[in-house]
Amino acid sequence: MVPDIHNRPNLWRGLEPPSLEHPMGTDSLGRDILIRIIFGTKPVLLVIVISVIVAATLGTIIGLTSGYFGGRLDLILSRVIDALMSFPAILIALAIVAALGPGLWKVAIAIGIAEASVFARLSRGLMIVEKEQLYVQAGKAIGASSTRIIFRHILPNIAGPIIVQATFTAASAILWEAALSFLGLGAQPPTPSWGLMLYEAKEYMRVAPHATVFPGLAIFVTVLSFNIVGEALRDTLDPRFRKVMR
Amino acid sequence: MILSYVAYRVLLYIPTLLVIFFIVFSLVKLLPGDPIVVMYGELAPPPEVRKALEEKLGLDKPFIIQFILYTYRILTGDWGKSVHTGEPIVELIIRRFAATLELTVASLAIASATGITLAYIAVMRPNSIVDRFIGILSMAGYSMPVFWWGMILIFIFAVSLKLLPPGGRGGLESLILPSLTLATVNFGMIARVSRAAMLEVYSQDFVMAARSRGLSERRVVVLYVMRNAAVAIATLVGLRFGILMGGAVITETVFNYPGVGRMIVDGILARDYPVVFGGVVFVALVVMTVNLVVDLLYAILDPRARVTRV
Amino acid sequence: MARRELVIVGAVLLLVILLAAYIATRPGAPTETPVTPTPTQTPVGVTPTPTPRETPTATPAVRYAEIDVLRISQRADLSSIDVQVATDAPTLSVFSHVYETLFKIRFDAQGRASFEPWLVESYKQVNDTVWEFKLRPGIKFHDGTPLTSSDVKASFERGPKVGGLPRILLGPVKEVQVVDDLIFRIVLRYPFVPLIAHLAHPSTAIIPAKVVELFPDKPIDSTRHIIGTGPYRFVEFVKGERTVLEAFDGYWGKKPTVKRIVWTPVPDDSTRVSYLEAGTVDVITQVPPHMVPALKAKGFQVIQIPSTRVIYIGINVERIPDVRVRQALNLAIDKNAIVQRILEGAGSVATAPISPAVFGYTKLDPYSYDPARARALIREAGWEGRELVFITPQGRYLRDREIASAVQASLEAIGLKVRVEVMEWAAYISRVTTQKDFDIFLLGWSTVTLDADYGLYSLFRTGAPFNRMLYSNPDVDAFLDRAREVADPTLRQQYYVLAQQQIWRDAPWIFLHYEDIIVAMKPGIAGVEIQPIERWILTYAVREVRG
Repeated sequence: MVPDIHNRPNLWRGLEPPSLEHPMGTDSLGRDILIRIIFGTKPVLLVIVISVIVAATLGTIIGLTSGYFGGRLDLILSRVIDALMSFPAILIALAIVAALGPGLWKVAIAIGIAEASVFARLSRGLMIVEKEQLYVQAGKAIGASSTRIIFRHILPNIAGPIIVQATFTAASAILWEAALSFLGLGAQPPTPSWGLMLYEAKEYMRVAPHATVFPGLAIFVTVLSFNIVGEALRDTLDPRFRKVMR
Repeated sequence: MILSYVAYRVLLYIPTLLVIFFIVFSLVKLLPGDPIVVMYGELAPPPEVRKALEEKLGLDKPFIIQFILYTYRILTGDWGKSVHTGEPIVELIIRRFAATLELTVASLAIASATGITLAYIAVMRPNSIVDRFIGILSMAGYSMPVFWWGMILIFIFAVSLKLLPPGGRGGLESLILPSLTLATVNFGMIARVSRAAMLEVYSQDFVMAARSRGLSERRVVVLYVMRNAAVAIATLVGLRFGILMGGAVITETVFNYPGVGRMIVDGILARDYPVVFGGVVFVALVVMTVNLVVDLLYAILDPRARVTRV
Repeated sequence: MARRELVIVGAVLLLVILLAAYIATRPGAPTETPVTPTPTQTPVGVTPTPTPRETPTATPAVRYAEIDVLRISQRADLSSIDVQVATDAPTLSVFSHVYETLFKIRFDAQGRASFEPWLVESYKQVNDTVWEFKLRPGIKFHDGTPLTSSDVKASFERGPKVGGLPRILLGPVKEVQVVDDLIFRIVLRYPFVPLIAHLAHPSTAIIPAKVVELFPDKPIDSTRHIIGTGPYRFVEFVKGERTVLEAFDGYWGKKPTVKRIVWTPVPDDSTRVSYLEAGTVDVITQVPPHMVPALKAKGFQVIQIPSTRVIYIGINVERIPDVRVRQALNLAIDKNAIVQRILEGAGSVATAPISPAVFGYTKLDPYSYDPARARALIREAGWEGRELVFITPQGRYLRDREIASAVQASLEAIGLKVRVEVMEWAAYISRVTTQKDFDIFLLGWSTVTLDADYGLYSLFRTGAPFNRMLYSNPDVDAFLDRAREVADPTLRQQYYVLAQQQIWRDAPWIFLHYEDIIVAMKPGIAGVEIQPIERWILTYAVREVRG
């Protein structure tokens, strides 16, 4: 069995600075950093997709329900969500990760749970405005079921800001994963997760700064791109929704 | 009316705290291992022997009983002592929280000053290159991994240039790098919100009225625009306080800064339950109080908002 | 986005990249010139004879003076304020200055350990299971009360109730009989010759009977109760910040030359080194190996000696019963490369399951690095393509994560699939002790009593508490059992040699290496004693005075 291309340790070539042979140098186990960064896009995508799906689905369902039905359910739910949102989420995510055990999938789910409250608040706010609209009143009048009204009519109309938020959440998720890996609770070796690479290179900062610079740069550039795209999306949808989003 | 609102909010503290506490309690108790296992290191005893030791610490009682016991103790003020060092939790938390507060306030100050200044510059020339550049700069701030930026700052200022200490707490100079790091991640959001708030006010009627009365541009800005921006920023800061404290956890790790976030993380890793539970409840209390204060401020400063808040 | 935006974005990114490039290409601290790889079959890593621990004593024309305050920084904080509860070396190092044991470990110039009576003045073995001891008169605790046999009895009765280490070390003790204030007898459950070695370990230190009365079966709850007979009094403990000790005026032994010692925990290695460089502390321990050349270049003293800690990968013998597979695992790892490159020379390849400083050690040939033969054995045993679950802690041992990564790659190179699970320590050790759904696990063991019984019996005897490999060999059991009973050291040594040879062949471990201890201090300090059991004694440190 041939080891994966990103996991070929060569202990005798560790921590070499950038050169022609290794444009970004090697890490502490002698693996080429550029290759690892390239292969690191896969864990990044995995984390983004899973966490955004979990957060958006969980959060939106809660928020829509809470906003649509109002009353006591709304009161309780929104208080709980407010409470969770204001609490340093990293501690919650940390505890979730520690409880679920190591592994990229579990990290992604934990991030999704931690970020769900943002979607809940957003979709609730949107729902509160939207449900006063004429078409919703009309739907209710003709006796359409709540589920149908919510998911087939209201949701498509408010999907815009939710998608925008998803982009921002994707950016956050990358930072989350990096942070959790940095605390040692994220991806497992030999996964070339950028956060894990930073964690592994941290103690060599003095003698081999290149091993920390490049993974960090990769994270930075990716997150920045997502944020820029999110902003651009938001601007396109601008005039109608500017007030509701935060 | 304000009093009744405050009373209503404070009353809500208890159920909210219960929810948070229950979540954290469950998660932490779900973690494999307990303080005994941590204390013994490689000499961790086999399960049969552990039973006797667990009994002593009350770790063998059923989950619900433990939860009720802990909740009761915390509500009555008995926050216990650290399992590992025997230090009373209350003292420990106060000491660590003071450190985090220092850090949080310092970074907020830097972030706000920077953010508002940048926003002002941007608002003076809307949609210009400067405006766009500041926009991207703000985004760059919160796109950076906090710890990466921290490590780079350490490398430049503490290792290469040897101007500042690489970590720990003590004196103004050890506060500079950590608060700079934390501020970098936060100034962006403040700048963006300030800019939006300022722009919104700028175009309103009463500003034009003031201008027509002959007030200088600067006075206009200071009197009306800034004050309005202040409201938005206060809300933002309040909301982000929790996030700020969360970000502080990582900064505290990188800079070996003895704050409350780090205390909780270490407590989780060492399964020092009293430390974790006390810390979490305390932080939740603080954050909720900050939110309440901010909401009150918001209601006072912005008359429009008073009626709609639930 | 407008074209302007793109320009701005591009400019910002460019700036950041330039900044990064600047940082990345700055010359790092000087490292050792890379060692050219020698694909070698011969076992490397001849264990260096342990060097003397004391830093060089005075050369003429240099005087030495006392030190007012000595500041030392370790990685970890005090894990417990109760000496009978703590199990980790850093905490016990601190307590070694405050508490004392009946016997004391002495190292000769070759690094071999011997045990001299310390709190005890004289002793004799009455019969197979009874030993009689006489305490030195005139020894006082920090609170002024005299040391008597009752204190010994109380300490030894409490120890096993509150702490894991005392329970193991005093396990063979059935009871302590007080004959008079200074004379007492220890009655054993079975003949146990290594008793003397055990009585030199800080976990068997003597605490006042008064304290035992207050806390008979749970840990002490405040630092006021830290009262010992040692040269230092406990002054204060601020968690996460410092521990302070002060010289005790009424100490019965030689007066300490350091008035005050301040211990500071700094978890981050680089930060700890900066503290030394900045002059914030005088001594640091657990120096990361790659910083050694830079420190030496700046004029700091760096002392590196082999410790008694052996790092190994335990193999669950029930899940991998085929000895060929276990031997293949040993042949697949380039241990020399791990020591030279990952540890950067801060270790030596293991030549026995215990380290050379331990009584009973015998030198064996390490398994050579032979992946071809390993692959053949795997194929022969029909294990090609099978998956192994490899659990490992992180941040517990030097470069443990990297070692695990390197091992994983090596094992995959011989035809196995390896799934690594990195866990934080509490979760890890819990899994190792309670669950058995893993094949191999990374762990370390320090034979702190410096007697082979502690290093071999506890780990390899059938049913022993720390035999997590579930290893069982009746021959080995017989050797280890006999070695405990026989008083003659030569005979004991022979039994241990036989046991180790068999264990080596059976390969219930992947035998990796012994870790080195690296301590750095600022120039001009001498008299710091560094013991291979990861203990640093600062009591008689002095500073150079020129002129």
